[in-house]
Amino acid sequence: MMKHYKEDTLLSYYYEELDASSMKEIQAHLDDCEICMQYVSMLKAMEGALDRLDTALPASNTFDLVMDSIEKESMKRTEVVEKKPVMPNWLFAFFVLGLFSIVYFFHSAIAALPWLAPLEQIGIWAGLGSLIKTILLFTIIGLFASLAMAPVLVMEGEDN
Amino acid sequence: MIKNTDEELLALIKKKNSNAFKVLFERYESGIYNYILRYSGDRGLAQELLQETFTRVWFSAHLYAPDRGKVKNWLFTIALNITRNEMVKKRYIYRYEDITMLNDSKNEPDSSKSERPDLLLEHQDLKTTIAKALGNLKPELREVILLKHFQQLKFREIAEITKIAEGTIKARFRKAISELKKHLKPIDQ
Repeated sequence: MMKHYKEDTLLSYYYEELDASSMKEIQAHLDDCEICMQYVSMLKAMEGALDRLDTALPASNTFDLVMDSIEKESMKRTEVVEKKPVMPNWLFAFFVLGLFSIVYFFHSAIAALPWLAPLEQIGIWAGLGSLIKTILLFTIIGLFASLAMAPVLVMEGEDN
Repeated sequence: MIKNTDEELLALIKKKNSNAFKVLFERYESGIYNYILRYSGDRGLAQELLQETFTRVWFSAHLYAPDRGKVKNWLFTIALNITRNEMVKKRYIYRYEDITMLNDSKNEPDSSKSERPDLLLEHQDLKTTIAKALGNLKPELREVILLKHFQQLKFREIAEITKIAEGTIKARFRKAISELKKHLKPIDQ
């Protein structure tokens, strides 16, 4: 009884996706096997039918439209966008409070720091209470901390 | 630049060379446009998604890895993903009328036919039947036919593009052919 090739193999044969020896082998088989040949002929007929569909052309200005779209997209991508802060707000508040506590606890030590000594020469500063000084110092440190933790301004990256 | 390979062009596109981009565009605009048009049956959508495909190519050129396949396959992967997403998102229904209404010179029937209205009508009827048959296929069957027949890709390449096993692609192709055969029987006779 004659063996028949699987349709998958005949598909690969028809589209010439087999190695040379398999192609030759199937070609020889097709000369004798009507059933396999019928399948290959059907594929050919189907190809002929699909070939009847015309090829359409896109609008002639498509490339310009693509370039316009790229330009718009580029502008969007290079806009400065706000990224999420490095740490959540609650953590930031906790951080500041902690900083405040430390400053408050060590205010006398801080006040004695050499770089603060010139401040003590200023009458207003010298007249302030320790708590006020601490708050002022805290505000300065907090300001720097806020700047450091502020949302980072970056150029948005490209992705797929 | 016109003689450059796709890979060379893409390397230049990575460096934002618009001349190379234009050459690559002209090489594939028709193939991709017709692919989307035959997939969706909608000219307006095909035009829109063709633009989107190439816009994405420009911005994603740096993501192309030559060891993962040809540029052509990469382009069709992008087009396929964009088209699939759009079809799902907007629940498009295939409109075969669009691909039988032709208005460019390449699609004009030859003069001998245009002198014979009956032949012209027959020609148009055949196209409508084929377009309808294609439109009646499930999208996953239609896409295999489009990539195989119209883009002449190997089954292995279609498997790469669609990220589906080659055996499944062949099974889908056989199923699609068998479905088309049912619809196109009158043409064969």
